[in-house]
Amino acid sequence: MTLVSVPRSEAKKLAPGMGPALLRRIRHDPMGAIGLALVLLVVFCGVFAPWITPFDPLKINVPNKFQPPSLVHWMGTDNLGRDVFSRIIAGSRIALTVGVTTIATALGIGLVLGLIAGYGPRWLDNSLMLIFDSIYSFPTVVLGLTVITLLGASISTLTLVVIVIQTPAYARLTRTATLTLKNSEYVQAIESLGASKIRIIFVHLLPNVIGPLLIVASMDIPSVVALEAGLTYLGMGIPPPAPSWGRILQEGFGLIRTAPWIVIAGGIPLIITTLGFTFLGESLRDNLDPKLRRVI
Amino acid sequence: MINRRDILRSSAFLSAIAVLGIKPDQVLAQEGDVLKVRMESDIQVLDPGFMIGGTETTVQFACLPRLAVPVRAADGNWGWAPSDYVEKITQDDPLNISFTLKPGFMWSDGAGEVTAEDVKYSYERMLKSDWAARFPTLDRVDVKDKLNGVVVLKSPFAATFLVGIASESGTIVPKSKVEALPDKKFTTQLPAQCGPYMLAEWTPKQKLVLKANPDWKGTKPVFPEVQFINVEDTSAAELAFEAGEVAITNVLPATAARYLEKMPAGAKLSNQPGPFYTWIGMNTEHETLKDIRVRKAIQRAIDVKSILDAAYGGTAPLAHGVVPLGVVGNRTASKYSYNPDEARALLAEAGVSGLSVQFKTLNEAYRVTAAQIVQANLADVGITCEIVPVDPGPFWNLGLESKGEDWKGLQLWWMRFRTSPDPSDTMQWFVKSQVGVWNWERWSDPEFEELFAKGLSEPDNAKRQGIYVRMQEIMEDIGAYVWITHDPLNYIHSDKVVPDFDTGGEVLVERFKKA
Repeated sequence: MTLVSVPRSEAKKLAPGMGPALLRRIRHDPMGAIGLALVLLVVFCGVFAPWITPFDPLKINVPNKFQPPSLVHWMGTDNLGRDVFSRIIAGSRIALTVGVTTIATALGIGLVLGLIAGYGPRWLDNSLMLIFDSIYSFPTVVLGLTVITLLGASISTLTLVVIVIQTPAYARLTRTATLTLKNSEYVQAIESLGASKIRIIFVHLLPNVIGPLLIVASMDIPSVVALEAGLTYLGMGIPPPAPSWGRILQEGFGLIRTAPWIVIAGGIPLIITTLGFTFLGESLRDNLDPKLRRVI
Repeated sequence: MINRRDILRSSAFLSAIAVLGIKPDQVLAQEGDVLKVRMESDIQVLDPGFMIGGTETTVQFACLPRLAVPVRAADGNWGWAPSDYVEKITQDDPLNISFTLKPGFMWSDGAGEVTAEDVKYSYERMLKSDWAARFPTLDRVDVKDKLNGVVVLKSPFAATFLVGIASESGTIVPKSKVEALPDKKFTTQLPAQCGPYMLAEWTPKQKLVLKANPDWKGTKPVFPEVQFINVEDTSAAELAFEAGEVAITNVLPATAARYLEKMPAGAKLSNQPGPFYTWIGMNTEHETLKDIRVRKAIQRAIDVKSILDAAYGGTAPLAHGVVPLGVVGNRTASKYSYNPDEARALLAEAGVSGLSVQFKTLNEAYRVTAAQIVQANLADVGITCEIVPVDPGPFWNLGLESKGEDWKGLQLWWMRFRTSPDPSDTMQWFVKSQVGVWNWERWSDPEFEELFAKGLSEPDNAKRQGIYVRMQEIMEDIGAYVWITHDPLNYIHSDKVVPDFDTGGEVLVERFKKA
């Protein structure tokens, strides 16, 4: 029993009461506070977009085209007379959908497959690793472009692409952590007590590998948002008229000398999102990793 | 003493030169009699039988002989005129065109004089070339003597001059030199030259230089040297023009609109009617579009003027058919116009509600902009429209039966074709035999077929005008077309230069003048 109680207490170190304490730490870390504020801003815009956009982001009003930034149109209007500020806010919902949904799904799948690979039989580990490495060996953008060309551009295709690209990375990280924990004394103790493999994986291993993965995932979200914007910019992402940030950039680029505010406006949310999630991720890592944690 | 500002200025200057692929001496040569022209794509094949187009056309007009040249008449319509190389060229009857070459026009590289035998060789060679369609009824060329010959047609073809003889396909090549080539074809090196200019230098992907031909006996070109600078991206070319690195370039519609509002100092915008026709097509065989009332509703639901304003910056004219401005058969009015109420009524009459359609377009910014207006217009009358941007490869296969089954699912699409300045060339893609090839709308009409055949041989332009206008009325009545525009050719050029163009919009530098 003594042997069993040790890992449980280890696992619980990350769980109860961790949230408020972590939040407190992040709030007191300037980088973390800025990151959190920026992320909350993006999340707020994404969640409440339909209620806070000053104009209909899809409403075409050609006579109103190319209005420069003003008190009425904070970020001006585009070549179809649409309010750019409203499109940026509405675009945050797409960015969040693609960023958070895909990362969460990839994380979930990667976690399960990584645990199975790390804890399962060797032949299964080898097979899964072969698949992960095969996917991993493709350049991200090339793989994305290929899949989108074959299946057609849509938000679901883009989501699928990101999940396929990201899952092997999380699975590999999980597998490595699982292999380390697999031979630890507490796991051997649980095994000797006759615990089922499923119980060992999900009750005893999972809580110990998920922490570092969450940090990596939070820092991956801006990469995915940028990937979506990049693919859409290349004309391979979310089809029009969806106001994705990549599309705003794409449409604005061709008009950069006529209406430079469109490209500038399209770049701002990408900067905010990237900085926000990166700062927050750095702060999370600093505060969750005992080696890096500072005394506050 | 060199200061930081000097270094920065020099660096910026040299960077710009490097980006444009220009050597410093070329920039210094900008002053004086050197004309610098932006070249969008590099030359690949100068052989008229196997050419691609673009600057290749310009080089052929400048460096090789021909019997006739295209000219735009005062009324804006394209016609033709005898070239500098001929004493006379006349259509003796519907099947015979006789010509007499001027003596003394000598090929370079010791290939001798330009002769009627060269003309025979060049034209008959075209029948076995990639561009054989330019001479659809050519039978042969009879050589009478060294300088005289007769072009003989199998059947009358009204566009023999504009589509064939006076076009790039009417370029004459030196028989003796071409016959000596391994494949009897040439690519980027002319076997011999005879023209106002000589191709003097070509650096792939950088520049091409034409120099005035000292032995030329025709009208002397105004600029002794013309440099074609390779700038593939049009936006970069616009910057190159504004930086004074090129004297002329075509520009994007949005830029043309910006220039019209505020012209750069020392610049002029040339807005020429282009050889294009742009329309929205509908597949008449598709289940959702089989009912002509649905198609006519879509015709009336789309606000083309808004499309022209947003996608073309207001620089493009409203089309009323497929035959471009300046070509016999151009229509000046349509029988329908933007009318969402009428569109709703037609849909109600057809008993259609909740209709969903897919709109496919090439993935280009201005087309996607236009597609979004179409989408909003159709939504306004209760039709849900999904925009599907498609890359060029798959797009051009969409309606081809030979390329798979995509044509079955094709509903609406944005299309643009280029035409020679003759309506028969414009109309050839809509005849019955083209269903499943380029008639993606998949319809046919006996009167249309009859008129097409009649138009090919009718020599009277007034009668041809009536024939081709009627053909476009038939197309419009089918309901499968929403006329958009004849995309103009927008060129920005130095106000010290008066440019000239061929029927396809390529610059004809030998006709350029100084303002």
